[in-house]
Amino acid sequence: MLSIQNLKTSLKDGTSILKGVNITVQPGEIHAIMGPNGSGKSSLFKAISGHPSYQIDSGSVILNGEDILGMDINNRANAGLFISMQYPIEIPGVKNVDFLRMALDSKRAYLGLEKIKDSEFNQLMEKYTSLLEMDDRYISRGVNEGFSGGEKKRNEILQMAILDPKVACLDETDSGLDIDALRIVARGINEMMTPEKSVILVTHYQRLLDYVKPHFVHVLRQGKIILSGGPELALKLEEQGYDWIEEA
Amino acid sequence: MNIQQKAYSRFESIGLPKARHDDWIFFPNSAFQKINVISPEENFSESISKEFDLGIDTEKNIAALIPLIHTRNTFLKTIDANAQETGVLKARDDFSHTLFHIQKGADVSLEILDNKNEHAFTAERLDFFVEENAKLELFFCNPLQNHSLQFRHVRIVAAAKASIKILGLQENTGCYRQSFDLFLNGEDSTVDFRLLNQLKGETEAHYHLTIHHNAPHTKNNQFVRQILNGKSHVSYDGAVHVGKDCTEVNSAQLINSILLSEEAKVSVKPVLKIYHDDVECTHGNTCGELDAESLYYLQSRGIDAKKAEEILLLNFASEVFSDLESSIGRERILHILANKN
Repeated sequence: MLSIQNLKTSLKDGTSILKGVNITVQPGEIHAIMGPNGSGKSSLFKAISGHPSYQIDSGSVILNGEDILGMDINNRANAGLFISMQYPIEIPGVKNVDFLRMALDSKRAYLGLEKIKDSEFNQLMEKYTSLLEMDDRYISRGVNEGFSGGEKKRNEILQMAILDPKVACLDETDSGLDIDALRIVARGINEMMTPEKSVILVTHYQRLLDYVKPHFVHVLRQGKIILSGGPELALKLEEQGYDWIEEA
Repeated sequence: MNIQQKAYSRFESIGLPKARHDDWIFFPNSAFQKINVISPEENFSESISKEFDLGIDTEKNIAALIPLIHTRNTFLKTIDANAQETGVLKARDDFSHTLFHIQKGADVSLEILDNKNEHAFTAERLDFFVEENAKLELFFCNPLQNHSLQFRHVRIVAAAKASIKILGLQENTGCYRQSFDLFLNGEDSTVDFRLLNQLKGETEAHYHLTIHHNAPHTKNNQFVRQILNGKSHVSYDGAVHVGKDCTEVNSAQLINSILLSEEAKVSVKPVLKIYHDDVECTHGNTCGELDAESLYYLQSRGIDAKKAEEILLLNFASEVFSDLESSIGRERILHILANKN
């Protein structure tokens, strides 16, 4: 379970970004966060994951009973939080497969487990690269090196699948995807979902939500959740935009 | 007049560099106090001076002259045409001179080992005359500590279609200056110069490289990176000269530096002297810290900060050599980097 309570954050220069965000995500739930550009959606994910540009002014982020705000970035991830980036960066020279294995072994070390065996790792890789229709190119090249925007997003989902987090926060995973890639990525997300896990999606469009059905939809505006509802809210937003919320 | 006398005579006429000398502008002047050059007593190498032109009469670099003045003898080696050879060059004295004559079509890989004499001042000079279609790989990667003051001068004269590769991993401490005078005298001759400095403490590492494109269709590529910690200081003074009748010359110079401490320092001076229109010469220089977004990305996948930093630094370092074709020097350096980090 992830519980974000009264989270207020600002940039190092003092600019206030999140102004008291409250979201509780139970195991097995999918939440979608929508909102205009610049409303703080990506900042929310970065702040809870420990991005150095953000400072926490107040609030708490509890992941399975543990406040993760005092943890190092890597331990937040190892405790089960996964952030799929809106703009995944390239790390040329570090092979994707080596990176994935290093990340997985870091998590296993955190959990007190031994390093993963070759055969087990290879099976995992085969399973998820096949599910996400990724060829050897993705595996042998540097992390995101020379990938298109859509390929990078698909690689983020591969990382999520391999790392098997408790809560996955996916930041505009659907942007830059063609129709087929969107379907494949959505398949990856749905495959990861079990009754013990949760997903928070940030998206601008209903199209991803056609494939990954949310239980709750929230509207984030000017650093605050201003409206929450069921899946029908996303349809209304798609149709009418955000202005009606203020007017209401 | 033999080599020693000629070198001493030339040294006397140019003298020690004055403060703010253009070629020594980044070098700590205080280090000159350790240099004591005296008139040579012995005569040797008469035959060498007749067979090979070492450019003494026009030499402006004292680091090229001092080893000739003070060395006891020249190590002379000829690599036969079309031979394949690998070897190690190791100076036994404080001052040494090595001369290789690499004949047509030979393929040579040589590792330069550092002079282990821990005296106040050491200097070595290496000359290579590389004939047509021959290949020469020179590399150095064995760090020694606390050189008080070390000079190394490498002079290479390349004939047509000769291929020169110089690879360096420098992790020494102390104060040293390496100079390279590379003459591309034959058409289609090439130089690929790759250097990585990983320095700490108060190390002073200074590089002075001049590439003379004296023939058409010649190419040089310089790719230099440094990762600097402590109060270390690297300077790279890289000059490219393109002669009047040298068409379709291609020259590229790229210097990237990561400064891991506020007191580390890098100085870069690109110099282009081009006397022909049909050339392509580029140079670039970047300097900064480790990329914060890359560090965050790695950590967000569970990798701790120290390991994430190591990964990025290893990656930054390895890229200097990773795109090269496999060779003894390349594999040796990449192996050292991978096992160190």
